[in-house]
Amino acid sequence: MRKKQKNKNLVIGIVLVSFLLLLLIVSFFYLPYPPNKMDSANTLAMPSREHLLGTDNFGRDILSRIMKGSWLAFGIGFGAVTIGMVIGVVLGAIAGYFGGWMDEIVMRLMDAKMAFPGVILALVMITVFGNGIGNMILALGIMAIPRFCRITRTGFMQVKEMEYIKAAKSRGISDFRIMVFHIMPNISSSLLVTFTLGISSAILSEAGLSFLGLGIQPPHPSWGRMLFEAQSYLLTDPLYAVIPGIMITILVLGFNLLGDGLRDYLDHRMPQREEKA
Amino acid sequence: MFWKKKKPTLEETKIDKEKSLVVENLTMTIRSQGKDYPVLCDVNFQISPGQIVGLVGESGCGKSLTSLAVIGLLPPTAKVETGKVLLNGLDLCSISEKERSTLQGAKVSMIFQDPMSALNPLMTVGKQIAESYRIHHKGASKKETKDQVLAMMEKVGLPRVSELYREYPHQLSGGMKQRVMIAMALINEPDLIIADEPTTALDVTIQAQILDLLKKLNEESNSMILLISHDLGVIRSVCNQVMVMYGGMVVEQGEVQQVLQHPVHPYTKGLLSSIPDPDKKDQEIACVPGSVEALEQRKQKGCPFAGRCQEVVKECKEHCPKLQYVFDRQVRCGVYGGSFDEGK
Amino acid sequence: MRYALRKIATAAVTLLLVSLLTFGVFQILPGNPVEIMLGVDADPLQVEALEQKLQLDRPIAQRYVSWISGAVKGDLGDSIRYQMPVGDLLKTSLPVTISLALLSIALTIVVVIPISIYLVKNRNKKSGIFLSSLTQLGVSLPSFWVGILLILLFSVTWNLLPSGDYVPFQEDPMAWFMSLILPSCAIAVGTSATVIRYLKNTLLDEMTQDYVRTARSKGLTMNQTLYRHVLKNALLPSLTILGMIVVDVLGGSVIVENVFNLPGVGRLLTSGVGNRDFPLVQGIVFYLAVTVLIMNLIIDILYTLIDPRIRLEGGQNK
Repeated sequence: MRKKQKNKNLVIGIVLVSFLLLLLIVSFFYLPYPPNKMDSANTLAMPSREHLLGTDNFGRDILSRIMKGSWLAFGIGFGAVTIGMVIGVVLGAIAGYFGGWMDEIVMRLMDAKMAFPGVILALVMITVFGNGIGNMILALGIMAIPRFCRITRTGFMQVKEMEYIKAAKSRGISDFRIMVFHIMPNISSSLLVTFTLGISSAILSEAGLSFLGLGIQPPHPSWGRMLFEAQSYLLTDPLYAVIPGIMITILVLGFNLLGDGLRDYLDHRMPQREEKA
Repeated sequence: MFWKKKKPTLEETKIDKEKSLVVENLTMTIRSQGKDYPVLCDVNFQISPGQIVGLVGESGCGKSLTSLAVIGLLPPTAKVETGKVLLNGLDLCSISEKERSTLQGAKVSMIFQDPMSALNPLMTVGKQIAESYRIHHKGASKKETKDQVLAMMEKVGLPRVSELYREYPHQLSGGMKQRVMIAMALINEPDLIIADEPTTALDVTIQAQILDLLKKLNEESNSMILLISHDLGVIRSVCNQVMVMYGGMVVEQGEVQQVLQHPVHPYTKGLLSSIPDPDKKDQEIACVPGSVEALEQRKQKGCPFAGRCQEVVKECKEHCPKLQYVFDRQVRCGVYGGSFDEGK
Repeated sequence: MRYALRKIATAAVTLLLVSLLTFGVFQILPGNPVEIMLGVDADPLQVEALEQKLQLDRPIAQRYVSWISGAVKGDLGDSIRYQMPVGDLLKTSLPVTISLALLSIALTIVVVIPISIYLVKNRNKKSGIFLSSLTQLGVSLPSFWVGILLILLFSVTWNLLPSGDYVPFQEDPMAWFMSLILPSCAIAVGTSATVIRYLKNTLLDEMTQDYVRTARSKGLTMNQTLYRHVLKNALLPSLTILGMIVVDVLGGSVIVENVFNLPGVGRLLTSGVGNRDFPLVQGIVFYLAVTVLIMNLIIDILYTLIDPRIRLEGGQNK
C-alpha cells in the first residue's frame, strides 16, 4: 500500500560509511608509504604526484597516515560501543525488568555518570590508568553505557507489561529466558540505531582526547592526534589541519545519518499511525 | 411521477443572500500520495438567521471538511474544485488569506469537539477569550476587553468569572471548558457559528446543558448555527434542518421533523434504526453493515453507499443518483424516486 | 512541592554517588600513587612528604570523609604541580570558562529560535530542506576542528580576530568579547545544531495540536499563531534540554580552551591530566560534576514553576 519513501539519510549514510570502509579495506593490502616513515628532506610538502595529500612535519605521507588512521577510528568506535552496549543492556535489563530498588540504584548510577560533562570521565580514567589504546576503548565504552541502559530499561518496562510476557511468566518460564528470548528481540532495532549513533559519538570523543594530546599516543596515526600536530603548522601548512578534520566529520556524519536513516527505515516497517483526513 | 417537483432555485426559496450562509455546488478533493481523491461532491445548503442546521454522518463522510471549508481552515492538501461558500453574499473561497482572517472569529467562529485539547494549556482562560476579542477590536482598551470577556463568560453560564479569568484550562471541568470555547466563539457576536461535535467529549448531563445554551444563545442573537454531530438525538433536539452526508455527498436533506420521522434514504434509515429503542428491548439492534471505506479504496463509479446498502439494485453500482426532491425533502437515491446522473 | 522535594532528594543521592566515584576512582590505582605522580626516580624526601600530605597511611573511609568535608568547605586539596590549593587555581580560571560558557549559551539561544521557526515555516521548500540538512552536518562537526578552521579563516587569513589570549572583562569588555567570540562560535555550532533539530520537531508536533486550529479559527494568521501560541508550548519542553546544553558547553570548553589557548578550567584540567596531578584533576572534576547537578536541579524546579499544569498540581497537594 504505502509507497517506498525516499530515505535520503540512509542512502547518504551508507555511501559515506562504505567509502571509509573501502579505505579501511584497501589499507590492509596497500598503503602508498609506510605510515611512520619519515623523510626529513620533504617535510610539510604540498600535495604532489608522489604524496597525494602532501606530507606532515616529519615528512610522513599524510594519505598513508589517514588510511592507517581508519583502523584506529573503526576499531576504537566499534570496540568502545560494544563494551558500552553489553554493560548498558545488562544494567538496563535488570533495572527495567525487576524495577524497585534495583532500578533506583541503576538509574542513580546513570545520573551520576551523566553529571560528568563531555569527555571528562574519560579524562579521569586516562589520568588513573594511562592512555593506552585498550584504556581508551574502555573509557569510551563506559561513556556509552547510559544511552544503552536507558533504552533497554524503557523497552523492558514497556514489554514486560504485555500480555504474552505475563502468559510466559505464568507458564513458569525463567526470568532469564523471558528476558533473552521474549523481550530482547523487541528492542533489538532500537539498540541497532543506538549502536550506530554511539559509534559517531565515541569517535568524536576519541578525536577530542587525541587532539588534547591525551588520547592515542604517537606514532599511531589517530586523526585527532594528526589535528593536534597540525595545529602548530597552521600558518605554513593549513591543508594538514583540514584533511584529518574532514575525515572525522565524514565518519561522524556518516554514522549519524546511518543511525537516523535506520531509525526511519525501521519505523516505517511498523504499522502506520492513522492519519486524520 | 406525480410527486416529483422541480428543485427550486435560490431565488424561488426567497433566501436573503445578504444575511445568510449559502453553500453552492461545493466540490473538493484531497491530495494523498500524489493523487487527488474527491472528498466532497456537489454540496448545497443554506442557513438563514435564527436557524440551526444539523449535519449528520459517520466519520469520514465529509462533515468536518464541509465545516472547515466554510470557516476557511482547510488542510493544505485539500482543494476546492468548484463551488462557492457565500456568507452574507461574500464568497469565502475567493478571498485572500488576509481578508479571511478578518472574518474568522468575527463573522464566522467555530466550537471544536474536544475542549480539553482545543484550548492552549499555557494561557489563562481569560486571556484566550480576550485574544479573540482584541484581534477584531484593535483599539480596545485593556479594561474594555476584560469587561467584555467577563460579561461573555457570565452569559455562557460560567461561575465565579473573575477568578476563572486567571485560571488555566486544566483546572476546569470538561463542561466549563466547552463553555469557555463557546464564550470565545461568541464574543464577537458572529453571524455564523460552526459547532463541530460540541458535546461528544462531554458527560451526558453536561451535553444537555451545552445544547440548551447553544439553543438559547441562538434565539437571543438570531445567529446561524451549523451543528455537526453523529448523534441523531442531538440533531433532533436542537436543529431545524438536517443534512445527512455519506461519502462526501448529501444523501438526504430537509426539515428535521420530516426527515427523522419518515426517513427515505436507506442510509438515513440505517442510522435511525441503529439507535437502540428502549421499547423494543427484545429486538435485535439494526445496523448499517460494513464501514466507511478509506479514501484510497473508494470507487469512483456509482452510488457511494451502494456497497453497504441493503436495498441496492444493479443500477446503483453503475450510476450515481442525483439529489432530487422527494415529498418534502431532497434525497439522493436511485431506488427512492431519484434519477441517475448520465454518464457518471 | 512534593515533586520538588523528590527532585532534591534524588539529586542528593546522585551527588553522594558522584563524590564516591570521583574519590574512589583515584583509590583503585595499580601501584603506589605517589610514585605514579612523581615518577620512579623521585626524591625520597619529596615522596615521603607527599605521602604524609595525602595521608595514605589512613584507611580509605577516613580519607573519604576528610576529603568530602574539606570539599564542602571549599577545600579541594592542593595541586602537586602548581603547589597551590586547587580552589585558588579554580578561582583564577573559572571566570574564563564561565565567560566562554555564557557567551556560547547566549549565542546558541539567539541562533536557535529564529532558525527553528524558519525551518518550520519553510519545511517544504528547498531552502528549508537544505538548511535542515546543514544541521545534521553541524551535529557531526568536531568543535575543535571548527575552532581550527575559524582561526585559519578569521585570524590567519583575514586577520580580523585574535586566535586566543584572553582579556578579562573588567579590563576591556570589547577585547574580552573579541577574544571569546571565535571559541564560543566553535562550541555553539554543535550545540545549536542539536537544539535546532530538537526544537524544530517539537514545533512541528505542537502545530498538529488542536489548540492551533482554535487559534486559527479566532482569526489569527499562521504567523501570529506560531509566535503567540505554538512557540511557548514548544519552548517549555525545550527547557529540559537547556541542562543538556550546559553540559555540552562545559564539555566542549574543555577541548576548545586548548585550541584557543584560553586559561580556563578546561586547560587547567588537561594540564592536570597530562601531569598526573591527581588532587587537581579530582578537585576540578568534582567541582564540574556538582555544577552540572545543581544546574539540572535548578532547571527541574524552574520547569515546575513555569508549567501551570505541574505548578498547580503541586499546589493542590500542599
